[in-house]
Amino acid sequence: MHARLFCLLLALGGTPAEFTLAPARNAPPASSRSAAPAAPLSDAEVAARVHTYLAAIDTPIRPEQWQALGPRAVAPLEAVLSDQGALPSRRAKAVMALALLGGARARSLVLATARSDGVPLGVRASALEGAGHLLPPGELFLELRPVLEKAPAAPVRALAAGVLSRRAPGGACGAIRAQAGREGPEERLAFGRALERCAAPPP
Amino acid sequence: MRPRTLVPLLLVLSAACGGGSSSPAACTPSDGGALGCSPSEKPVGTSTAAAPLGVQLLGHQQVGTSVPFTVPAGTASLTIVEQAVSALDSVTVDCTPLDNVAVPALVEVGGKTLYDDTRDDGSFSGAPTDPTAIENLPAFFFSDSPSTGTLTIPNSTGGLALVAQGGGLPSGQGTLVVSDYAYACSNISGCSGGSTSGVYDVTVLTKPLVNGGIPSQVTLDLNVYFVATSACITAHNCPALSQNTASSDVDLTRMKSTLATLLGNAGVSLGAVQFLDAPSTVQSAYTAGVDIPEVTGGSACAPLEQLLKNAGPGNTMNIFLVPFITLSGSGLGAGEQVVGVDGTIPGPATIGGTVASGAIVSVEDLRVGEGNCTGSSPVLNLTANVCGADITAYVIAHETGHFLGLYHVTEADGTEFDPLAGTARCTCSQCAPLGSRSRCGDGTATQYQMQVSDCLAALPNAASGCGGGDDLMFWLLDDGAKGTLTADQQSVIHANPLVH
Repeated sequence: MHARLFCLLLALGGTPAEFTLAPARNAPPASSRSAAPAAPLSDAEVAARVHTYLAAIDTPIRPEQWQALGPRAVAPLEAVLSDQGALPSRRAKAVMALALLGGARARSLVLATARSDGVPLGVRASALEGAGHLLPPGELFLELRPVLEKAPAAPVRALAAGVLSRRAPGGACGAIRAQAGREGPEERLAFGRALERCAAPPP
Repeated sequence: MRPRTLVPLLLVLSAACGGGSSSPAACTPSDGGALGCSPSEKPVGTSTAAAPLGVQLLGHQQVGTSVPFTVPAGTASLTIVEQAVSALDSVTVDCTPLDNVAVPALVEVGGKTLYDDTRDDGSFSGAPTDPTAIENLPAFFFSDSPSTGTLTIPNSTGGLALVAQGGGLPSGQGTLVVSDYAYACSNISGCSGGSTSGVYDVTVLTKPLVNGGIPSQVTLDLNVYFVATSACITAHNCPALSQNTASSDVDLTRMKSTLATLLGNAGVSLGAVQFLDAPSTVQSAYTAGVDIPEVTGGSACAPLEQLLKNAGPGNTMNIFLVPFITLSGSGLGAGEQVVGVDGTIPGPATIGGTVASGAIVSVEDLRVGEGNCTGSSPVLNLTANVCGADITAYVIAHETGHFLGLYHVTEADGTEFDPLAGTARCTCSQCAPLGSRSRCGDGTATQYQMQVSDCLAALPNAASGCGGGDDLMFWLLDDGAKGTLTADQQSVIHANPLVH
């Protein structure tokens, strides 16, 4: 399924079922749904949800779905992130989920991954995005500036530029432009969207 | 996912946004964003279809125009492709920009209505006589397809039955009404930002029956474009991805072999396969992955679509292997990665170079677990002894299924299904574990999400009648997946003009 379709419909009111999902004929009526807060998930259910969410092919999992799992999801996500034999796509999803969950342990794992030159590119990308969720703009700039300017791999520097241009444009755009100027012509192409954002007038 | 079709959706949105008034509401920055770009960034492609396919190039047509075409006797499928020559990138419903999706408003052939975008489709019912059930319609459309939109008939049980019982689709003179979201919006009170001036290049493709039916065995040609030049677990000592070395690349060879196996199980032979380097400027532009931004309108101008237009001409499935795919923004996905995205459902078969001419697949898993990639059967383990080449092949097959017109058999919440009666359903209220059924469709963040294990009829914990977890088009790839495709699904993809 086209991912943006979900973006589009979720953006239209926050209750996607209202707009997108014609319920099955035997589903309970809407009036009987959402009437009471959902009961907490059991530990086994949390673990099962983590497993299921990481197995999605092209259906994004909404941030609030991850956040609803709470701190009990941290351990199973950490297990996936730290498994060198796991699929990088699963590790990447896991580190982003940790960022959405937050908390001291999750924060430590995300930032350590964001700083690491030894993880697959996609996992690093998710960790950099995750840092953008966890840190306020000023701290984010301090955290990612070394990545922007000193990461050995050009794509990683471009990823840092992308996150900073979205999350901390006020303080970081000067550094982004300066770094783009230091890149070679081919490497600079990956800075394109970050530079566009920095050139756009503030909202 | 099976949402409403265009006009009913717009009506609902209009009402929900305080519609009924034609004066636009004050918008805030949080209402969503829209992109825009020049027509040259949304090129119009030309069909390369050859006999036995029939091609009717209907030229540039303004929205609202009723355009005649013909359907020969003995036609297995009819495909209509609208490509924007001059059209808005997005349309705003009150404060929300939407992609200006291209789809005909009405398709009639021989006096029979094959598609009507103004009707509010029902849901899947499983009752063969229910005229509102989506599976009983001749065709079903739901796709986010700005600038380039494709409709293929049949893609539902009702459409397949029409072909089987009538010796093909209705034949003779047909008409289609060219349309898009903007045109539909212009006819709805309270919907602002519509336009009646859009112009589309319209192509009609017809595919003949073989031996009186939809072909039972077909061939798919494939182009794999290397956007990523590396699929390294770490940055060191890893073979590059290149057209010059692809034939000797162990992981690509395994991926190709597994893809052939998965497609072969569905009566699709993998024909010519070309590994091609994307232009160096394209590779450079996407070294940091494909970012799918959080915009609700104008996505034809977004990085994904701008990548897909690099597909060359020809009647091939075009897969772009990219470093990874990220959904950026603060809302949906919020930086999460997915492993594949198809341009549109279905894709514009036979037409390369458009913003919808293929699908992207992440290459990040390709080289993981080489030692586990043994035997002739796909190794589809997700959590232990994984074979990354087989997992990547599976994702390619899944996205190809979308391009050929297939929807997810069961969506995540277990209340939405594809329009095919022959595919197994996995209804949350019947198939979720007993203790979790109170969470079915409850609208909360802990709403139940169907697992593969809930939907494998052979497993002891799965209820009777709960299937589809092993299907190629299930929403998950998890332990237990087999990549199966039912007879109905095979008929839909065999009827698509992309396969020969």
